[in-house]
Amino acid sequence: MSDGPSVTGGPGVGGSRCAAIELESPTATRRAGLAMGRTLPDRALVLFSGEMGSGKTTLIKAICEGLGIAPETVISPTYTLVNIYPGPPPVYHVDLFRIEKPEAMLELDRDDWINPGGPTLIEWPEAALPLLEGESVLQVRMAHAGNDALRRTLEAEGGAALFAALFQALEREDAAQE
Amino acid sequence: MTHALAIDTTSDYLSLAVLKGERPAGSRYLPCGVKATQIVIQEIDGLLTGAGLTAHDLELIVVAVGPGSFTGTRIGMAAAATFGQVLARPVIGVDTLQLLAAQTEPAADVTFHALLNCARDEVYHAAYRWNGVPVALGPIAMTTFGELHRVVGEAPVVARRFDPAPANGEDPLSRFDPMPLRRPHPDAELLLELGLARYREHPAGPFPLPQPIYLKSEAFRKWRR
Amino acid sequence: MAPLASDPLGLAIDTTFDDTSVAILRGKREVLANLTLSQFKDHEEFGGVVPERASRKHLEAIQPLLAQALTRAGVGFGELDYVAVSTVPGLLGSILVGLTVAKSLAYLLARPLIGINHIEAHPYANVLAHGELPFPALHLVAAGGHTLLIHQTGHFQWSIVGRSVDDAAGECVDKVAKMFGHAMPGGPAVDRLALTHAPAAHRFPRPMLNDPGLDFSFSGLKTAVLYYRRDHGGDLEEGPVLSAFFDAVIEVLIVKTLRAARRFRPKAVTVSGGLAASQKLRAAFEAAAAEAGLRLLYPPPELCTDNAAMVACLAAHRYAAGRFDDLTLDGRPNLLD
Repeated sequence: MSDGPSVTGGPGVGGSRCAAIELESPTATRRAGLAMGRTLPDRALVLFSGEMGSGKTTLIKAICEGLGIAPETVISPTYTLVNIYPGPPPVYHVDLFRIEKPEAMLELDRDDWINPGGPTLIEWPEAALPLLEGESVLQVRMAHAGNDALRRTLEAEGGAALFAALFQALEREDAAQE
Repeated sequence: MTHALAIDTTSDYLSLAVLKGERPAGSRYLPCGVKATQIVIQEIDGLLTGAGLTAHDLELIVVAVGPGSFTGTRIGMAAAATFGQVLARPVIGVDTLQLLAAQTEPAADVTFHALLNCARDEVYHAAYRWNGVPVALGPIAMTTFGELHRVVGEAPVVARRFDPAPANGEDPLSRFDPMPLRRPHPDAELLLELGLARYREHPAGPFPLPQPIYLKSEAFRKWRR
Repeated sequence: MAPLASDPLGLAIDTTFDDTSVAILRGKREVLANLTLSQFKDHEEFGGVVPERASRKHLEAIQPLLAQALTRAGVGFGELDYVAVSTVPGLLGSILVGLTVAKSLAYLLARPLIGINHIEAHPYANVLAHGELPFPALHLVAAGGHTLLIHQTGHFQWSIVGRSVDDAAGECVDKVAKMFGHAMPGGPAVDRLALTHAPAAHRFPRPMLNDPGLDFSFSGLKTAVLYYRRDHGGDLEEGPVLSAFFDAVIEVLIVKTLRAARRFRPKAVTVSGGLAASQKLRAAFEAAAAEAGLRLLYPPPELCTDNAAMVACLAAHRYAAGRFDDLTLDGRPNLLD
């Protein structure tokens, strides 16, 4: 997909890796999210793209659950910009939907929206891309699969070494579904 | 007789100093991280009380206006502006690079640079000559270490970093020629000196409310190219 | 500390979200000034000191707003009896600006400091408009990032009994409005269209309506509108569609509120927050409350959106109760920790 966010900069040791899996239902999306949350490295930066309704909310709730956060506390940060779920580890859930000009990001300190002590999950990350140059991020793209109202595809792309455990977990999920 | 208070919350330190009748009458230089809001007022109160002053004795407020931590800078400036507004006293802003530059006192013909590394490869810098106080030769700029070498060359520097130095690999700041320092920290007593010098140039004002310095344009310029 | 004033003059500051707000209140209900930065279309009104009119520019805006508020109220700093500030929830960097200003004021004026929960303050817009709340009260707060049902048994005694588990209702409305090309915030546009168009025959889902609990979910409704729009392409008339969509939002809010009312038997039900400004929502709530025999209160539209007057009103009650904070008061980004 070419319209997703992209950040220039190295994926780090081991090059970059991409995985794509089909998710047949919200239950499958949730399982993939749980697996991702359990294998997310310490201070991972994860960027989410995909249109409204593509399953980002379901996936992010499950990732947080995999990280040990009560899923019902995971709500949309569209208005707050940043939700901080107390961990351990604390999880930053960021949504830059309302940031129209990237310049507005300049009013924020890095620590305001990038978690210094745990993972950071960013929805609608476009406005932040200039400030993420050179960072090793995991890009997650959700999309509708065909005309089935429930099926989704999940694409994950990031440093092969940094996210090795996560990619393995996604492979297992993929195999389990088939 | 001038009683004055200086506030600097632009870094991870809460830095305060009070001047009583031209003489330093106490200071604080406390590591506080993001907790500046929690302690700043009590520390100011303790400092003033220790100096035998109340806030209403103050005739001048000096505040560090950045560059530095945005939230930190806003906290100090919000406090300083409110003190100025309620007490109807002037607030003088001093930038953090001039403050760094004031840590040293070279001969008048030496051009030197102040460098402030706030995050990763982002460095604020400005060039100075000494004339009683450090006098900036140009505006504060933000650049990368790569470009910084071209600008600074062999000139001596006063440098500071906010983040810890990279764990593996060399600290890029160590590649520059460090100057001897007359003070170990860019603390609020230095801030007071600079603010007072500025005040004495134009004691009758006007005193527009200082504005924070947010320079982060470099990342965006690169992005547009 | 000096004895409490019987008719105190209070100042409140709110910088929790995008807007910078300052209010001055006499007693518990007399609003002498209630200013938000976004009200100022003309920079001249700002007395020459012109902050850029942009969100999250609290530092640049707050001193001119304070000066303006004192002028409007015709009072000086020295006459204030307390200083209040919202400390939760919001963007921490924004909260800390208002909090530092409030602490500085409280210190310099030697007056009590009162830290306020912005969400707890929303229903107090009804106190300003209608007088004291009867307790127990049930509040639907539909503001910014939150859709909440709050059960309140007395001042400062409240608990959240229902909340959105994903998107807030107002956010759902704004995002659907944006799908149809309306600028954010799209709530007023949707309300206008819903008032002037009969709803389309299509019935949008009412998420969690049949769930016996009091929580809300609006993410799926937003997605349903997206699909509907995609499947019907160019020949879609937005008025009837948005009207049908808004009916779904309103029905969910009303059904859950009434369900909570049956459970808690409140003496009054209040609706506050940005979405409570909607005429269609108010009319529907009035009809439903009348049928259920409930006393319904909602504030005038200008007190629905974020404002410091409601913060001052809650603070006045805290002042009367002698419940103050000390100068180490901290801000908190999350409503629930």
